[in-house]
Amino acid sequence: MLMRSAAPWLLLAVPLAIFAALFVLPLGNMLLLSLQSFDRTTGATGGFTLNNYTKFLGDSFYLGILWRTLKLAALTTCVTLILGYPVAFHLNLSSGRRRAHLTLLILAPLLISVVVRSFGWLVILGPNGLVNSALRGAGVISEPLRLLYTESAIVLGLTHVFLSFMVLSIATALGRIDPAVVRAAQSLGANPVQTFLRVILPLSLPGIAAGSLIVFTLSMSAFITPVLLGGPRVKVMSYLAYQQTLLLSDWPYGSAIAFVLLALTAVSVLLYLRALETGRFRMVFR
Amino acid sequence: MATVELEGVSKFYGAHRAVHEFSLSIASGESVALLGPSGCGKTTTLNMIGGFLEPDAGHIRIAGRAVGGVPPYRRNIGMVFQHYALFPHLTVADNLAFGLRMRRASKAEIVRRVGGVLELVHLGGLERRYPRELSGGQQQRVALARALVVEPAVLLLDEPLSNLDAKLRQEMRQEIVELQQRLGITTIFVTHDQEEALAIAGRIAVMDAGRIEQVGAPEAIYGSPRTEFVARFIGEANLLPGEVLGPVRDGLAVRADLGARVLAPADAGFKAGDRVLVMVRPEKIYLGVAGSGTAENRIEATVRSVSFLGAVTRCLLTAGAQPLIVTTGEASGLPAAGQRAALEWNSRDCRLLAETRAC
Amino acid sequence: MRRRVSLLGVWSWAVYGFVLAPIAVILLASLTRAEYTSFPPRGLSLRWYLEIPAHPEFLESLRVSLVVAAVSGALATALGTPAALALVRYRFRGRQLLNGFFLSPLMLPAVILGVALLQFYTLVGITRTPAALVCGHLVITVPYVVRLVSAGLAGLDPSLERAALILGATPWKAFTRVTLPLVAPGVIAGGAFATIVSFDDVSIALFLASPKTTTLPVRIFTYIEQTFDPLVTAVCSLLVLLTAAAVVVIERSVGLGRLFGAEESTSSASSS
Repeated sequence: MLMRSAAPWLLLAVPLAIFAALFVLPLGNMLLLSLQSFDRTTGATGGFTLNNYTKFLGDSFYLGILWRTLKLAALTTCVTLILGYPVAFHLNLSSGRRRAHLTLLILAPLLISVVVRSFGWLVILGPNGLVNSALRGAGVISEPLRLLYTESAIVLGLTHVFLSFMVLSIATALGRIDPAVVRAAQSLGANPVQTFLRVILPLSLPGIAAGSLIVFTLSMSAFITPVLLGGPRVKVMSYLAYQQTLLLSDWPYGSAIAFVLLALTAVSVLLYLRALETGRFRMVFR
Repeated sequence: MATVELEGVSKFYGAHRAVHEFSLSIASGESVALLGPSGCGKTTTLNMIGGFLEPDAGHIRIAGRAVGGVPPYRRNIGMVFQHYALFPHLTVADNLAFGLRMRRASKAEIVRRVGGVLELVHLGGLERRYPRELSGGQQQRVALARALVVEPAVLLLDEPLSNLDAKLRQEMRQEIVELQQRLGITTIFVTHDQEEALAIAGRIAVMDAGRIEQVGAPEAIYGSPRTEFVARFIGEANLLPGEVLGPVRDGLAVRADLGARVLAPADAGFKAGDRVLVMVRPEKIYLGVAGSGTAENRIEATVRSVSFLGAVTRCLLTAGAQPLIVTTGEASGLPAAGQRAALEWNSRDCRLLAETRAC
Repeated sequence: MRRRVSLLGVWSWAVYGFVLAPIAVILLASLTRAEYTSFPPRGLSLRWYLEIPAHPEFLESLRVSLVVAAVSGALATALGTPAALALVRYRFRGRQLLNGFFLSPLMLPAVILGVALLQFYTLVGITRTPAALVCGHLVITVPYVVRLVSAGLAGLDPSLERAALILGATPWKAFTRVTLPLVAPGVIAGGAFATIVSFDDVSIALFLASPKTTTLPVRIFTYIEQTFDPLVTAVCSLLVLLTAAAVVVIERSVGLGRLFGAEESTSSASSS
């Protein structure tokens, strides 16, 4: 019996140690760095200062970037929800092989590197790309439209990258709804629209919530897509951290920005979860 | 309250025939059970009456009006589902109000009727609870109340009691019978539990493999089954193969394969030379001492086991290869395993069935 | 209900088209004959594919990516499987916490991990080596292995092992002959997934990159930041085809849909 209780820890010992070393230590180190000062010639100095954080939070330029990051993440979440819900509904209606194929169709793009996927949008939205060529060809415009390097391009790219998560989340939740409940609503006189609005939609809320959470947090921290589609002018928080760390070698400041991003994401998640727990349909989540 | 008529209703799933030319007329206010083993098509039939499935052939009429192509939400039915299907995100009150809201009842009327139906099912005070917080029995009552509060033309129940434990099932059976009679609502319910059907229904339609085997009042179904399937499905039966000899006095003489001579009630359907099964219910057989008398309706057999079951004692016997079951209220004075015994019954207690499929 | 389904169907297929568009566009644009990237492509030729060998840095990056992915995948599986076993099979204090801990890197912005790892590895002195890449990737691949193996184990009936024990098997035999074969699909799925995630990663590899340790996605990224001529569309197309081949292999052996738990809805046409 003593063997029994020691077994999990034996199994966990090596993975835990290695994982902690690879993961916790670097983060801890980064936290320490964020509290240090930066000198152009010597790099990070020792000591303790909150300068990096106050520098960030006190500058309207940087706060503007923070706000933009939040805004784009929220927009992406909304768009994926609107685009994705019908797809999830459609997916849930299918079964067997067709369902397996549709699921594959939604999942497979996730396995292709995000660089390639976002690059595709460059080709679609660029001056010689799909959209401009089509509009030019139809005679609607004579000069190419400037579609890239805008916030809309970023939202489009992020939506594309994260749509699958929303679809799968909602489809899973829809799949958990007892079909008898839908029939019960019909037997009580609810037509398809009423059945959807009053029964199916509320019962799919856990999927909407989970999907929204995933898409929001991933969008907040997205890096490649905003950099490629927004360019150096339309910056987001991740780019800022990258720029400060790799391009300007100001590790302390870069670390501070990274932590602000982390904190912001964590707070948003907590607020969201709290709202779910006290909301009108909280029973659905129990 | 409405009549329900099914005429030649059939339903196919590919090549498989789930329901085959089902015809039944249900009077207004009547309580009818569709009884049969799983896969016999009873739930499919119920779903067709409810409008969740369309028949591939035949017609269904509710209150005299053909309902082919009419979706469930326009049929004015009430349905209780096997696992209740209560809306988990709504309170009991909102669950009950749902159908009323669909019918655009006023707020005052909703409050009044919801309160009323809760009293009817003895659940007053539970308006604000959620289904998850209720016991199985309470959920069942809410499901029933939800179907009744809209005052539907027909009430449909799909195995309503199968999820309750034995004691609760007995209670709910009684309540459903009382409710049904009090409200006088046309009720159709589906069950595989023969005891339930016998207890609740005014008429039972016994189904097997998509067809109706027999329709009748519980006493008629039990006492005078017309096919071997019905005889075996409802209660237990002893079935003795034999051949009809001819009419005799006020009955039919049959020679059982076992050798005994049987006097059965007169049955216009059978004539000399027909192969039949003589059916006798276990509780209609008297166990006596072997070797006395050469009367009709009597066979000898060896006792295999005697089981005391509380209210009855069940004896299993064999006569050659023929298994026999006798139940009696006596607990003592019975032959022991291994002994020979004589089984006797009254001619009015046996029935003849056509010998159909192999046992 | 039928009319609604077709409207739904149109919307859904439009969205599926949206999802596949960028990939299709790249594949087609790579066939252009012109000197610049455009869509539709000008002319059709494979010249840009033939150009690739003249740029050995891409092939070198592919090699780096494959090696790092293979090693990360294997190590992640070796680390994640015992961890998942411990977390699912046993009840002990801190189990929930540890479970969350192993899955937490997925919640972190990859940029944060990139920054942190760069700083730490420089401290430790292992930057500019493939080992750094592998270690960095382990952080984001182990969670997937843990999650997939856990999901596979959770579906496993514990009484199967007990039945084997009662029938006379030793604990080790019961594990290897009953549990292991049944959990194998989850382990393989986890390993396959870990390899792909490592191969695709840009964010962490970008921070840890050096001339000798530039993975293919990072090379593509830095290239695109400056110019996007058709050469890189050809490279991307190859990457897509490579991934597609891997997906087909995985789908045939394990089944992708099941990995993500996109559950079957219970059939509403029940007959009884």
